[in-house]
Order: sequence, then structure tokens, then C-alpha cells
Amino acid sequence: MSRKNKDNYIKRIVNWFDERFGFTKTILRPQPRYSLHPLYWLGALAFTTFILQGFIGMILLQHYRPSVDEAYESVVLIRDAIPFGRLLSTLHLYGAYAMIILVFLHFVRGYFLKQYMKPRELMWIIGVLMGITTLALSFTGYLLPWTVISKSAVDVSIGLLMNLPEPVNVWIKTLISGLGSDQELLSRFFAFHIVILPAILVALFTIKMHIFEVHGVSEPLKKRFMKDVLDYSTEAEEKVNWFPEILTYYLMLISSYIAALLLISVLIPADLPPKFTPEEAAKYKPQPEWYFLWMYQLLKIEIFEGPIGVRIALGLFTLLTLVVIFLPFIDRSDKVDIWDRPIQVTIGIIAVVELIILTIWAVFTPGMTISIINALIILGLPAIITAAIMYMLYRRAKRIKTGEITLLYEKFIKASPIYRIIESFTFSLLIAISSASVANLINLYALHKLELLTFINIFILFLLSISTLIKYFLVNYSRFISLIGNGELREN
Amino acid sequence: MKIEYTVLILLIIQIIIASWIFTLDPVIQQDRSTILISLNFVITSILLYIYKYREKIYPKNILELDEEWIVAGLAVIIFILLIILFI
Repeated sequence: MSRKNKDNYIKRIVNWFDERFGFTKTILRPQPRYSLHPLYWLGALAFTTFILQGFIGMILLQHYRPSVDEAYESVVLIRDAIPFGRLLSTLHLYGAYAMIILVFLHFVRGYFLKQYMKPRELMWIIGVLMGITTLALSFTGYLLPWTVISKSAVDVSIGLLMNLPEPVNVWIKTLISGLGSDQELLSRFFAFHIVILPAILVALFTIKMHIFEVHGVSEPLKKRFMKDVLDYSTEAEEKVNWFPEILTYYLMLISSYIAALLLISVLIPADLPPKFTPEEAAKYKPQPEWYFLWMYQLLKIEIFEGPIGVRIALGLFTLLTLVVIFLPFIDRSDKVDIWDRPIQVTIGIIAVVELIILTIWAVFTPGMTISIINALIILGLPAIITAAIMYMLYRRAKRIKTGEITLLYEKFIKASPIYRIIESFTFSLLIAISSASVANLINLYALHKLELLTFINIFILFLLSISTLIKYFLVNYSRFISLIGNGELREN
Repeated sequence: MKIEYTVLILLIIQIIIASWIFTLDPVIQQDRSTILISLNFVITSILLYIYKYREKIYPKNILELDEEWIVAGLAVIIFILLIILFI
């Protein structure tokens, strides 16, 4: 068969299906070129991980036994005797972690770029619900190996929920652990993990994809902003076809991503802690998984101790969740650009900084009660510093906009290549130093070896290193401003 | 070197790696097998990149390369490191 005839033959088959399914008019329709960027694919990567997790889960399901007496032994068997068993169990764990990180990044990006604006409010709400379901999936899966760490962590979580007012606590207990026996708890978590939660996630995904199909890919920030400044909407948008551009780009991303996951699974293999027994549990300080550590650390603050304190804390968490879910209806301003929303952006950055600090802090202080003074210093100081940095940044940005300061980007782009390489290298090095100084600070604090002089020294080092980060932001920002100033929209 | 030759060499390497995986014990040597599978995914990614930009004229100055090139470059570095460190 000649090549031309073969192409026609394939085209006819594709057309035959397309006429019936209408793929090229719906999910496989051409998309704007700007969507071929990794940041636009965070959600897709997260859902692909979910599919991958489903396949790995199906293989593990053939060997796993959801019984208190046999669960741990079946996991040992999977790891030691099944072909690629250790890899699959590690990959299932790291896949869950990767999914949480991707969902978080997707969420943070949506927040900072204000993608919850009309008409995408419901898409945001469904996305947040999907994020909560993802956390629940990881939480339920964590118990299944029936190790001393996973069982203790789940017991702590259930214990906290029991502080909720009646009859809510009774309902929750009945839902997740039935009459309260260990076997019932494991069976229910197993059912949630393999059937109920995946089904909910798929249902939410279907609705989200429908909304996505209706509204399409959200426009990049620069473009949305440009619409107000220039008559940008009249310009024809360059579109790329689903095949080969979008498909090859997606497969390229996925291949690199899976390669990285596989590599991490080999280089940092997950250990299996001992089986849960009450005697063994007494030796461990129960800690939840890393993605719940921030919440756990907050609950360890003195003020939230005791039944009433826990109730207040749980009430605050519920309030926070509701604020995040209904954010599109709370933040009604029509300002889109990051530089026009100083308060929202600062709140977002402080939240992310606090989340990271709480998580790292919890790792170093297992089981310790936190005094209110300590909590205020550890949480308050970074919040004040972040707010101050953001204030300076916005002030400087305003001065750049009004032309008071020379554009750093212009300087950077006109400099020699060697200067640019040195600049970039210095930037990376200083970021590494700042991260190391923060880690050192927390470590010294945890070991109770933190003296005032050491603190000041490390803190100055941190501020010096972070100053380059600010400069980097300014470089990028001034590039943006210079584009507006020149009336150019070219991509560099 | 023409891009077609590069693709051909990478495909041959992929086939060799895939054959190698089949000769390894999936329980005792699963770590090595996993690294080889990972390597094959990296090569797939590079092949897809080459296919995606098959008609592109690449700049000669390394500083003019775009971000995808950096990703591809990193993939190649990982590729080489994997070979040196683990096999």
C-alpha cells in the first residue's frame, strides 16, 4: 500500500469515528498555543496520577487482604515475593504524595491567578472538593498496611473528631468505624479507599471537565490584564491541533513525570514500619502523614488543648475550608492582575509560608505541646516579615510603573551572557543558603540550642539571601511593565 | 548529525533496554529494572520532543534556547547520569 493511500485510509477511519463522537469539536478541539506550558497541565498531571494509582491499586488488590490479622503480612508478601512488588507499593505511596503536591500547586496557582472569577466559580468549588477527596483517599489508604504508625495516626485523628459536639461525633464514628472494632475500621477504610472515594473523584472530575469544555482554557494573566490596557481581544488567537501538538506535549510531560516518579521510588524506597500491636504502639509518638502535619501542629498549641480547645480548632478549620470553597463569592472584586491585588496576594503568600513552617516545625517537635508565646514567635515573625517584604515589593513595583526607577529587566537583558550566567548562579546559590539557614534555625530551635546571637546571625544571612529573590521578582515584573510601556506583546 | 539518525539511535537504545529488562529477575533485581524502565521513559520523552519540534530550526547560541530545551537538556543529563551511576 502506498503512503498516500495508507494516510487516506487512516484519515477515513478517524473521520468515521469523529463524525459519530464529535471529538474534534469537543475534548479534542484545537487549543490556544499558550496552554502548552507545564503550569497549565498540573490538574491533568494530578488526574493522570490518579489513573496510574488506579492501575497500581488493581494489581496490589490481587494480593492485599483487608483483615486485621492478614493485612500486614499480605503487604510484606507484596514487597518481598511479588514481581515488582516493592516498586509497586512504593510507587503507590509516592504517587499519592505526588498527587497531593500537584493538586496543591494547581490550587495555589488558581488562587494567585484568580481563576475562580466568573464564569469559573463552580469549577473552583468542584476543584476544592476534589482536593479534599484526594486528601481523604490518601488518609484512608494510609491505614491499609496496618502498621504501627498508620494505625496510631488514624487513632489520633479519630480521637480528635470525637471532640466534636454530639451527635456529629457519633455519626462520624459510625460512618468510619461502625461499632468501633479494628476489623470494622479497616474494612470501612478499605471500602472508602477502593470504591467510594474514587467514584466520588471520578464524578467530580466529569462535572469539572464538562465546565472546562464549556469555558475552555483560562487565559494567561498577562493576556487578561492586556485586555484592559490594549485592544487585545481583536487579535486572532493562535490555536494548536490536538494531534500532534497537544498529544505529543502531554505524552512528553507524562513520560518525564513517570520517569522521575520511578527514579525517586528506587532512590528513596519507602520502609515498612512494624505491624500494629498495642505494645508496639506504646513505643511510638503518633504523628499524622506530612500533608496533615500543619493541622496537627496547630492543634498542639496550648490554647487548643482540652475538649473545648479542640472544638474551637475544629470549628476554625471548618470555617477556613468554607472560606476556601466559597472564595469566588467572597472575593468579588474585578481586579485580576497580581499587582492590583496586594492584600489577597500577601494573604496567599503568608498562608503558604505558614503551611511550610508548621509542617517542618511539626517534624521536629513530635508530641510536644506548644506554648502560646512560642507559637506567636514562630508563626507571627515570618508573617510580619513576609508582609513587610510584600509591602516593599509593591511599593517598588509602583515606582517602576511610574518610571521612577530604571527597569532592571532592561539592564539584565542587555548585559553580557557571562554576567547573566553569574547572576543566575548567584541567585540559585543564595536561595540554597536561605533554605539552609531556615532549616538550621528550626533545627536549633527544636534542639533547644538556639541562642539570641546565633538567631540574629542566621536571620541576617537569611535576609541577605532572600533579597536576591526579591530582585528576581522585580526583574520579571519590570519585563512585564516594559512590555506595556512599549506597547509590545511579543514573547521573549 | 541528522535528526533522523538521532531518533534511530535512541530507538535502538530503547529496544536494547527493553530486552535487558526482560532478562532481569523482577523480584531480586527490581531496582535495576525500574531504573531501566525510567531510562526508557526519559528516552520516550526526548523522542517526543524531537517529533514535536521536527520542523524547528534550532538556534546556534545556547543562551537563545527556550525553556523546553532546558527541560530536554536536563532529561539528557539525567539520562547520562543514570547510565554512569547505576548500570
